[in-house]
Amino acid sequence: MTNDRDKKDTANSRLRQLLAAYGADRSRWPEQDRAQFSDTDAEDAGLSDEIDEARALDKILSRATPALPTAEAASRMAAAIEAQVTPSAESNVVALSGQADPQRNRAPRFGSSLWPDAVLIAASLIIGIALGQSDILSDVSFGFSYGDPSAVDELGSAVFGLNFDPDLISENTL
Amino acid sequence: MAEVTLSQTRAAVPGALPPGSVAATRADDAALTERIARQDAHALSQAVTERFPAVFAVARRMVGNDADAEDVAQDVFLRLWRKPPDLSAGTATLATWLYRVTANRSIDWLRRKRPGPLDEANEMPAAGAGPDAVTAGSQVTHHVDQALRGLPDRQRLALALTYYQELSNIEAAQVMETSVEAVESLLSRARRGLRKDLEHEWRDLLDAVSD
Repeated sequence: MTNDRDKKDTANSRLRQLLAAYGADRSRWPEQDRAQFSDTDAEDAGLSDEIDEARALDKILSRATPALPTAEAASRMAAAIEAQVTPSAESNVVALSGQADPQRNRAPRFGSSLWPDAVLIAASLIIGIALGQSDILSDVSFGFSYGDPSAVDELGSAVFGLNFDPDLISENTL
Repeated sequence: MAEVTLSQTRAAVPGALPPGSVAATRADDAALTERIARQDAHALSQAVTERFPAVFAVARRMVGNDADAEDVAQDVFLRLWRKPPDLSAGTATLATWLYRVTANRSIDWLRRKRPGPLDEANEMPAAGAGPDAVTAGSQVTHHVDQALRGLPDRQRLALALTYYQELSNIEAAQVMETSVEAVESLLSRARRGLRKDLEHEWRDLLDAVSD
């Protein structure tokens, strides 16, 4: 008898913890707890007040679901990253926020002070000519999938006029 | 390490990484990061395309505004380009790595903006806009956003990862490099803190979300 009561107390304690940490939606509970407790266990354990409280907070939290980044934000991101990973676009580095922050630890740019400027210029010329001949970068693009085809087209044209690779647009992104 | 299964019981959440078998994802992630390590710009483009919304969502929740969230996201992807993780062992996913780097970058950003011991003081304003301010859906969102910003960083991160990105507690623990029990404790404290912060507006909020 005492053993049964201990088990019940332990189960009730765990149910309280689950409601407090994960809320009233059982689908948010850890898998092993979902397997252990049924839909009605918490109610049967007399935890109606805890359930109501958790359910209310769940509902309120659901109103603060983060918005998706805008197409403009995605465009800025693509441009900024492309500027930093393709040497020929070095001069087009984009400041995303436009806010000066001297403490910001920005990633180092291509062409550090270790190289004399003349060497960099010469290297840029050589690389530029080579890329122009090889078409290596002609189809490199940074695309974003937002479920809105027009937004994708807009982004494609926004990024240095490069075309989107449709293979990179994933329906599973969102 | 325990096998992780992403919850597939709810509709996809905006900004969350795609649900699916983590085992399958691991193989894809390892191949993708291997290509990035070879400085394949197409591979980076693919990673940015697929993962920017999720990275942005966590960064936005942590730093509290779009512009800084974009900067954090940029840093995350540049880090991916310059020092991609080695996922060949199959024990981690790119998602875990990205969330972790995003969390770290966001917390670094917060430290610079708000010097002081982490998690002990948060100078961002809590809810407190007054009980009569809740009149519309946007106000509900505003109040909840403010209350979330008032939480200590790691509590906010735990909530962002599990509630809004729908990571399991095991995944969140991997991202945060802590135990599952610690994540659960953070979540409990976060929810308790939110409830307390929203005390004045609670009844109005409930009425508003019941509409």
